[in-house]
Amino acid sequence: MTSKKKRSRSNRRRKPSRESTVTLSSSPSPSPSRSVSNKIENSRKKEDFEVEKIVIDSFDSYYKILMEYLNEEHWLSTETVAPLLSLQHEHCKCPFLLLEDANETLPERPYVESIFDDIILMHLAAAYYVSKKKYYTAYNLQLLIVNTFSKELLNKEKDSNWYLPLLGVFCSDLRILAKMSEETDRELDKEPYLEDVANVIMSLYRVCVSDSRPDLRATKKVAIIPMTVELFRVYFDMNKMALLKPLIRSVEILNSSFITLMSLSDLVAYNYFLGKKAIFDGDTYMQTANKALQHAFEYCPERFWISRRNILIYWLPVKMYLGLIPTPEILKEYDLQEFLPIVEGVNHGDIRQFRQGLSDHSHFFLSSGIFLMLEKLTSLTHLALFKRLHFVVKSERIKLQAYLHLLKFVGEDIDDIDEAGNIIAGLIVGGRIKGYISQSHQLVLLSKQEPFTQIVEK
Amino acid sequence: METATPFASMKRAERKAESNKMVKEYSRPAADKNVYLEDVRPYEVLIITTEYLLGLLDSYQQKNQWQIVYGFIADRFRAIRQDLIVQQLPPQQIIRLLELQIPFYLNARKLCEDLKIQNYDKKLHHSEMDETFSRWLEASKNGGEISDEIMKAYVYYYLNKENIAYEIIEVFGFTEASAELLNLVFAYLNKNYSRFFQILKDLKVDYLRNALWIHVGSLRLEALETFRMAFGAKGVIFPLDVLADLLAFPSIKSLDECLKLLFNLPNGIPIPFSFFGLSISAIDSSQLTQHWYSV
Repeated sequence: MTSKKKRSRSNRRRKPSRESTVTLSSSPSPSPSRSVSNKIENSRKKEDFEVEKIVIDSFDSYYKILMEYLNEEHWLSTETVAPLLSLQHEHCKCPFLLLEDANETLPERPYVESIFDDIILMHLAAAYYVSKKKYYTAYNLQLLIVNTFSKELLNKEKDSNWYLPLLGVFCSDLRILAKMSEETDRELDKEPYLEDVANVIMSLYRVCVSDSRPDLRATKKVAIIPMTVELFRVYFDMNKMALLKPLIRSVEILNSSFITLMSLSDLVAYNYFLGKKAIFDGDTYMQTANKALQHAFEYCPERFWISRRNILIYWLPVKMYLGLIPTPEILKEYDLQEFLPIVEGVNHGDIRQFRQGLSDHSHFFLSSGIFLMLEKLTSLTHLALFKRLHFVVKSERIKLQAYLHLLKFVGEDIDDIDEAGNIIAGLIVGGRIKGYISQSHQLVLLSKQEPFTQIVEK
Repeated sequence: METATPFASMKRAERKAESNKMVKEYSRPAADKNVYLEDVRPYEVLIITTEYLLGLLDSYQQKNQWQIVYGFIADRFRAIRQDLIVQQLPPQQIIRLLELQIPFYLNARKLCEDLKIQNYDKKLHHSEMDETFSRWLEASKNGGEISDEIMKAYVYYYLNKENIAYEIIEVFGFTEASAELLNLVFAYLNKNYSRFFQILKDLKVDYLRNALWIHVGSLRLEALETFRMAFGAKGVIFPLDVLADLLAFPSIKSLDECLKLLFNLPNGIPIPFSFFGLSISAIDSSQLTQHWYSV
């Protein structure tokens, strides 16, 4: 990571006001790669590294800084200014950059022949339309940006990849605009937006995957992981999780040198989606889900509280499924009080509290997509209840009738002793209980040594 | 079905057509084929046609007639759906038409498989069922009001679908009817075989039983594998009549055939029956014979 000492010309002319300026530090992205963030951390400690802030207070300064950095045709320069072409960056709030047609503002632009000139103007026009809540128009402009980038850079530039940091930015904006258009401007275009976005991003992904150059400075393969993360987001939004499988396989067979180049945000995001997908794949993939979500949580910096909370929303049910009960402290720290009755219910076999918790917070659990996952914890609640019965009875021989009676007492809608037997059978097969059932005596016979397995986690 | 004697064995040239029995057949779409507006039947005609076709089911109920009746009705229903799609009817009209067709498809599947009908193509039938249900669901999402019974049929049919629980809540909302269906979905997810088979036994409406019936084979397989582990200790017997009742087998004989296949017992089932010492054959749900689906 190099320190770029660039001074805006406008700095010499007048002092910029806080409301109408954007400052861009030389730190390249909100989530720098691990090696870069370590370097910055170390240098901050040493106090021999100054990060210069670049001030943008006019279209002129914005344009010139962007073009100067992009004309260097260097990965780090592109990465530095990539946020200035993102609709999610704060510069899109500056009134002097919300330009429907920047040709009028600065007709005599020094780099008017450059393809980036077109891209910058389209980007600012898209920002303008977003500010006017005309998402459909902004979406079409963004589509044009992506197509221009693809045609003029991705497909034409063969032996370089310095422009690739922009790919993730453009695709991310395209996806977000597609979602907003679908929500607000459905009547303008009835075709499914996200499907179009998926097709566009997939075509870019294929170009990157098919590049066989070995040189890391030239190969487009370095963009596979950010593109994979974008596709993950799209396919999750479309609820087409089956399409994630080939993407995951491609990453698994990727050369380790590409994995080390992964940015921290991509690493966290990739593991987060991997974990989510494993949850939806079913019970046999809980270990995979646990590992991936643990990785995502541990690598997600603490200052990204919302991201860590989002990871926990999926990790907590997985942990509980594997036999680990979260503490009330962590629920409080991450404002996940909705899980409290679930945790209490599963821990103490309090089925009433468990079901009440599911019902009271059903909207939260449904919108998070974990309602079914939590419903599966019913078997663990039944297990905890059975353990309490075992504790009271103090015998390895427990009558099914007693368990049925207890289930009905705690409010379960079960009339049939066969159903009570079914519940126990499921727990035996699932490895939670060691023992067997005698059909003729209607008895559960537990193993004398450790009838209940502790943690299923491996 | 459009002739005077549809079930008589005679040469094609000898058949006498009856115009009052003629119904527009399905026409495969092609790039060079034009759809003429005057050929598209309006909603009122589609309703009358559907009711006429359903009337044929009541008129011809003998098993030896089924092959011809099934082939005819399935094709004509497909033609009705074709006209329905082309003219983009309002959601409520779509629902009305499709809710008349859905029970036929559900009942027809079982009957065709039981009678081993020659012109029955399982995959085609399944895709037509999917198409019918998907248009019905789409019409419901677009504001049409659906019947509780067909909603049940939909959930029963797609019980093993990944996101069926979310679909119930998203499309049908939280109602008493949907809560009951969610309970069944959760019972299925939590491997509560007892509840599933009890619901199957309690169902009185044919097409609802047949919607649930498609899952019977795989659930029985899973249940027996579970019981082998949970009830498989030495000296523990499991009466066959209890097992047959638990898994809703119509007779011990059908259960016997399934046990012989699953546990590789060519010489018969040991009496008294015990799961102890039995080893499982490697079979999956695609290899299940008719006995696994007997109800």
